[in-house]
Amino acid sequence: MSAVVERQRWLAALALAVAVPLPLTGVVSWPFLLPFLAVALWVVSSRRPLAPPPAWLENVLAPLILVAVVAAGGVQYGILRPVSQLAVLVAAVRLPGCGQRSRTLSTGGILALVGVAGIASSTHPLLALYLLALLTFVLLAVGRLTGVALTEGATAGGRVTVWPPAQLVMGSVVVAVLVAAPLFALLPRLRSPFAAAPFGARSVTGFREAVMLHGIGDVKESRRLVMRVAFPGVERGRVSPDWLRLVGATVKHYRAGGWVEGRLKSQRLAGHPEHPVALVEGAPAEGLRRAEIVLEKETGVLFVPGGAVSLTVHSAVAVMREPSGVLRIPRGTELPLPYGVEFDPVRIEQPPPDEVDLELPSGSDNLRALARQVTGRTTNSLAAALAIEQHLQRSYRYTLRTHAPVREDPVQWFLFRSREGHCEFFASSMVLLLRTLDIPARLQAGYAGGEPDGEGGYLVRDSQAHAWVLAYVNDKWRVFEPTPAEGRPGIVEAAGGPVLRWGWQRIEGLWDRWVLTFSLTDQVEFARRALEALAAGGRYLPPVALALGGLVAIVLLFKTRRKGGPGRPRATVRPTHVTRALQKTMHGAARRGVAVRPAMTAREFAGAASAAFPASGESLAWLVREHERSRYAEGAAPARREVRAAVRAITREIERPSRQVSGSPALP
Amino acid sequence: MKIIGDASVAFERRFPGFTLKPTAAFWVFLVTVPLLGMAALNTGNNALYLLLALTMGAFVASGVFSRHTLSRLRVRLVAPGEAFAGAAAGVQLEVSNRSRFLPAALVVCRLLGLPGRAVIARVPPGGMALVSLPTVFPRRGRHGLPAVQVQVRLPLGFFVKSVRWPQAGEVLVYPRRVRVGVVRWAGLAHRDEATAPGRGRRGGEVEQLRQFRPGDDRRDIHWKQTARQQRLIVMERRERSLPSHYLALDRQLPRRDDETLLQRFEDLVSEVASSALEQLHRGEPVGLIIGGTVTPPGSGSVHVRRLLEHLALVQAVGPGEDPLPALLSGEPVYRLVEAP
Repeated sequence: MSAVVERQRWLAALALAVAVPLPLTGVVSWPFLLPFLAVALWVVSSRRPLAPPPAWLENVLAPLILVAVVAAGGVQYGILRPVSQLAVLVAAVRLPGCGQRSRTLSTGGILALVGVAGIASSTHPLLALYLLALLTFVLLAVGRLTGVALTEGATAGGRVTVWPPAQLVMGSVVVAVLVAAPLFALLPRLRSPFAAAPFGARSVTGFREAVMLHGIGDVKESRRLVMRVAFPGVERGRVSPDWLRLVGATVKHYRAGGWVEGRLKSQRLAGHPEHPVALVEGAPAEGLRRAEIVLEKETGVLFVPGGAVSLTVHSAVAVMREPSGVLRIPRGTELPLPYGVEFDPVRIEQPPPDEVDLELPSGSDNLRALARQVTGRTTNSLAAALAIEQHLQRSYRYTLRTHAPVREDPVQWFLFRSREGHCEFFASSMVLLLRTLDIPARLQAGYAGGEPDGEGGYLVRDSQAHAWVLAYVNDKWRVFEPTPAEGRPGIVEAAGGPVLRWGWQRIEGLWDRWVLTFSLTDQVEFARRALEALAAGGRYLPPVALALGGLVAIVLLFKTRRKGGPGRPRATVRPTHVTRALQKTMHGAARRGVAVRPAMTAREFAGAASAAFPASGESLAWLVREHERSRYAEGAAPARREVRAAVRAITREIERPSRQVSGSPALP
Repeated sequence: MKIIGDASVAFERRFPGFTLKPTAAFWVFLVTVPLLGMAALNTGNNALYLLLALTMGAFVASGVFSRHTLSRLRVRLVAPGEAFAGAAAGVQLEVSNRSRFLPAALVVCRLLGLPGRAVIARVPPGGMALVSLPTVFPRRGRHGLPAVQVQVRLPLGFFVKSVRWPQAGEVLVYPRRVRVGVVRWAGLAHRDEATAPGRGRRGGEVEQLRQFRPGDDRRDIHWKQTARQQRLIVMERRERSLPSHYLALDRQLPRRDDETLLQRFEDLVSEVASSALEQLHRGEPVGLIIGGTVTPPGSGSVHVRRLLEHLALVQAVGPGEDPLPALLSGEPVYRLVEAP
């Protein structure tokens, strides 16, 4: 296989490797990814050098690619998604013919950009394994391609298309990881941790007080950690899923396809740390539970269980309560932010219903007709609410890929045209349907459920974002879940046996805590602890320093001794006394007129000197022989006494008064 | 500049023979890492930090393992048995790996100052690899064996790391082989004073067996008949019909320091050597006269080597320094004359 084919196949394989996280993270949508994968598969399976597409075709494709990227949109949500989609299409054009040297570097650069985009948008613990696999892949590819490149122009050694040694590859991976771990901890952080952006960026939930239904994001696919929740004193199996229904906002104004709340009547809650703030008026009820929550993601709001009665923030943060119930904290608040909430596990703490809870948008007659049709002739508000809830669960399909038309009311569109949507559509529809029956209803958004962290608490991720319904039936607020089961987050237990499950949860917990959310605060904390440990162990410092110094001295001594060994390059070895004697003889002979050239070998010198001073020939020959033996053949040097005697004999001859040297040739 | 010079001297002293040459991959790395670092710093994305740390870790690992591999390699060069100037000659490299656990892969060996490069796919830990490396010695004469430069690139090829291994010993390079024209024989065959009676006749057909007489060449003793007859029997050979010729080379140049003349002298030596080889390969004995040194005619591999050694080492001298024997006057010899 030629070098060109080898290069193009490895680059195409790299394209497939960097494409692995793309569909999982959603950074590149399938219409862009499919041509990229198809071209990569074609190139990797090709056994002949592929020619690059003609220039005119590339020129035609370039504006088409730009148009496709612009049409896909998403610039408003950040640059990563459009850039990634542009990069995969450009890479798909560049891959044929990438084996040619002129295209290899550029194609590799584009693929690197795609790879970085995929990695940057990954949050799963398997990212670590993926990175190791990618490094192994790169090591193998470099080994193969280096062999092919070296073969070109080699005059011996044959064709080298071998795999790099497994020891070298695995050793490199291990050393790289060992170096990378402390580097990861030490690299400076200037910003709060930011994990995978929810590409599409619009919430599918309403943990913000404004829920717009026209767009949809895929925050539900993100595994980014939002908060940790623990219920002190409660065994894990006794935690009710309703306790993990954490409310971000309760909204009731439906305007132009969205739920919007004003912020005019914000109320500032006391912001003293460790000082409980009452969230409801009146005497506290009995049987309260406590939740300890650590907010890990900058959302600007605090999430509390539905029955929250008091809030205790463990650091100095100003908390504002808005009419929608949003507990807002300032943007840029240092994270993670721990706080505690006392809540009533059996009640929903909400202001009593008012006329706004019965507001309907114009043109809601068909909603009313539908509600009547679903509820029949029942007059019981609870039965009516349950009937609507069941109707929505059974008659509509849950999907994340819904795009409601901008000019159409999204609830109408969902109920009567698409009949599919996500939790916000279901919840919004149920609220409006209930209001047509004069049942006060509100929409609540936040997070529902969580994943056990292996330590008794729960991890709440983006994917647990959810919206649900509060309806005032039988003189109390009740929660309703119109979303079908597949779209309803809950307490997620990992698959596998108990040990595996526990292990995986533990890994996820560690990953979230020490990788995804590792921050400057952690670095400062590490440094502080290290200084404290140093101060505490001050009395052990002198012996430890002494031991370390001794160890370093031993290592240096060992290395110094090894330097003198026979294995070092010859240039490092100090000349032996025989060689020095020979050099001295050469200087003497040069003084007496023997031409000693810089590149002269010892034997050449011996020949020249013997010709000029024949009587010294025997001693010279001996000296040269001993010099070669000691220098090149690793032989033992002769005794200094013998060397001195030989040098004396040679010097005696050389220093004799000049005489006529016979150079007459022998006759045939 | 002086600082750089001092640094390079210090580097050479600290790592003798060691060189480090960045590759294109290194420059790409050098550009990529700061960009990646800025992206990580700017976004606070820990996945990018992870990628950055692993990239830097891979760089360190590459350096550690390539240095380890290089420091454990030893190279010995075995001189070729016969080398002619300007013609391909195979030198043998013995590359041994003293590492106990790590094989050396894709080791490149170069002869410093000479063409030729060998790529050794794999040298097992504690093992050795032999590779024959064709090269070309440009000039005849006795040369020190060239140093061998050993290069490694793996695992990630950010640098080409190399170390220079000086080699002990010498190699005698015979004169360049050229296409010969008409051979200029010095007709000394009829007055061959160097050949003793009975010598030079060996190799002729056996004419008869007779009893040994004093003066007979002992190499002509027929041992089987001697043993059978219990007396010394020698073979009497018919005189070989092949003539014994001399090639005479005058190594005196009109001017000793003229580069053009020296170059032409090299061509002359090549022509003499090639003529001698051609005749010897035909089975004809060839003698050689270089200045005052006479090598009697002979044949066989030992004789060939002897002639070639003389021709490999012959040096030009000035006028009158080493004249040809007087009895060659008028005979055709190989001599440089200055055009009028």
